[in-house]
Amino acid sequence: MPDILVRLQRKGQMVIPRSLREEAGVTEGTLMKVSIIEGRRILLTPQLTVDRAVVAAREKDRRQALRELAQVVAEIRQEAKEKGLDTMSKREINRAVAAARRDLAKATKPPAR
Amino acid sequence: MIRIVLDTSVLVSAVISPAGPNAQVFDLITAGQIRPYLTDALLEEYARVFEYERLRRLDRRRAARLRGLLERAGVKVRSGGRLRISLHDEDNRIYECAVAARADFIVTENTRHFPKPHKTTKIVTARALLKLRTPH
Repeated sequence: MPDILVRLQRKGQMVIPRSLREEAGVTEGTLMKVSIIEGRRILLTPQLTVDRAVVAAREKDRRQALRELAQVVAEIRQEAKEKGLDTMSKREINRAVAAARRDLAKATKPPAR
Repeated sequence: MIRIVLDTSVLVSAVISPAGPNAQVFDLITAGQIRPYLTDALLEEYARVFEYERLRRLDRRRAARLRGLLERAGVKVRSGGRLRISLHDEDNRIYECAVAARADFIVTENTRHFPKPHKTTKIVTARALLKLRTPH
């Protein structure tokens, strides 16, 4: 894309042309880091913003899920022991995995024309 | 935190028995010490495997719950596209997840199916991973 000239306006404001905004994937509200490089050049770098509350809530949910996961796996292990599944051989497990994969491949295969 | 992708056979082995290195690695996951990464394709495979042969005898609700909890407890990533690294095409779904996750390890019992490390991801058995974590 060729360089585009823009004019600096009052209070240092400027408009980044839509074509450049779209190419860089920035939208209204994007936080930009402004740096001076090589003395007179200004570099704008879009910043990824993260909502701390969202991250904290997600981490809390993950910890809860880990606790529940440990519980469910303990239950499955107990059930597997009672049903004699805990002695399944590696070969038998591999057969089950292979069967699952075959089935999934069939399900995702596009229909023949 | 160590990022791993679990091959499906490792998951099954870990879930049906508390004995052995696969179970120990899984227990490190539930202890929050290593983090599993997942894609939709992998989750689908994890769920589907419990519908086969003897595994069908497990309580269906528990197996379904396992899938949901893995999704919440792990980190889901989106595959960046199809890879052809392993001759076993289905194993390439594991590679795809590992690449998207920038995983440290693929944990598998079938190391022969994963012929080489890819980018930052090493191929290890659960036993080897446990050994790597043990201080010398």
